[in-house]
Amino acid sequence: MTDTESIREDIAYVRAVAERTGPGHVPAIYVIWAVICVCGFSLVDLVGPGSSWVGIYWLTAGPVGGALTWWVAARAGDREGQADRRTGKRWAGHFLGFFVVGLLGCVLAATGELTWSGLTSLWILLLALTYFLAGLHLDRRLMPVGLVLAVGYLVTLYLPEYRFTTAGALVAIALVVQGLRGRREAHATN
Amino acid sequence: MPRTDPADVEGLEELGSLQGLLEHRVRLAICVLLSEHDAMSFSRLKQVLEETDGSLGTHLRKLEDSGYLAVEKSFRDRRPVTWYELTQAGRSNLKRHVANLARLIDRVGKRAP
Repeated sequence: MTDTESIREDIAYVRAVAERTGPGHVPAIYVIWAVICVCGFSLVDLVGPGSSWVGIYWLTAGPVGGALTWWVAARAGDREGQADRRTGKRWAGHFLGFFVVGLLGCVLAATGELTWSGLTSLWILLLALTYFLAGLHLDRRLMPVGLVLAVGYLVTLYLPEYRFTTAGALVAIALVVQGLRGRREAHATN
Repeated sequence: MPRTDPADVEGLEELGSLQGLLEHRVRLAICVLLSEHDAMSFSRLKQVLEETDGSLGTHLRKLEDSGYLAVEKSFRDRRPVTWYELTQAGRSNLKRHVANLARLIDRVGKRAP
């Protein structure tokens, strides 16, 4: 075997090994955000889109959910023997971007450019885009969640009653299903 | 006397400039894995590389002794866990090695009929 053939084989080996070690899948994170979404979206129907309770809920649940996600992911990485802090920062930056844009969006409703109900629907559409892009760049399992969120956005516009609760339930189901599918795939790979 | 093709000499230079330590596929794989992930434990590396304890330990020690890897020991459920990270020197050597490999393969590919 020539040197270059041996080098090609070595590279094929390294590539095969690297493909075996994607970032770990943690279904608990999907469940955390399913619970946060279903509670937060239902709250909009319960107290009304313009209620300060909705703002208080998301300003609390967002950062708490983010911190909990970080902690759960760090523990899973510790258990698995693989630390991916840089990947964690990319995830945090991605969803922090949505959070900041969501906050800035409040100005539209505060200045009367948009109704609070319209703004809530717009948030869901932005969240759909955030999940879809996360699926594209970070974890492909999130792409269908983004598509379900886009359906949820339409539901909030056209369903006569319980529209945000229905959208929240759809997203929660999508998140739990994708979380469980990921676990099954991870088991099959191992 | 046959004349030496200058391209062959350049190819040999690239072959010679490859980092000797990374010429072994397992050591190269270890460095590539640790460049992708911030840190990995001994047991995780063993699981991914499918190497025996002894063989993996020898490769890791060689990389550690050459300053490519930093080692940290911790405990999980009262069991010792050894974590490995790529050092800055290891990262730049790996980068250089991979660049040389790519150049070499590119050159050979261009020369192939």
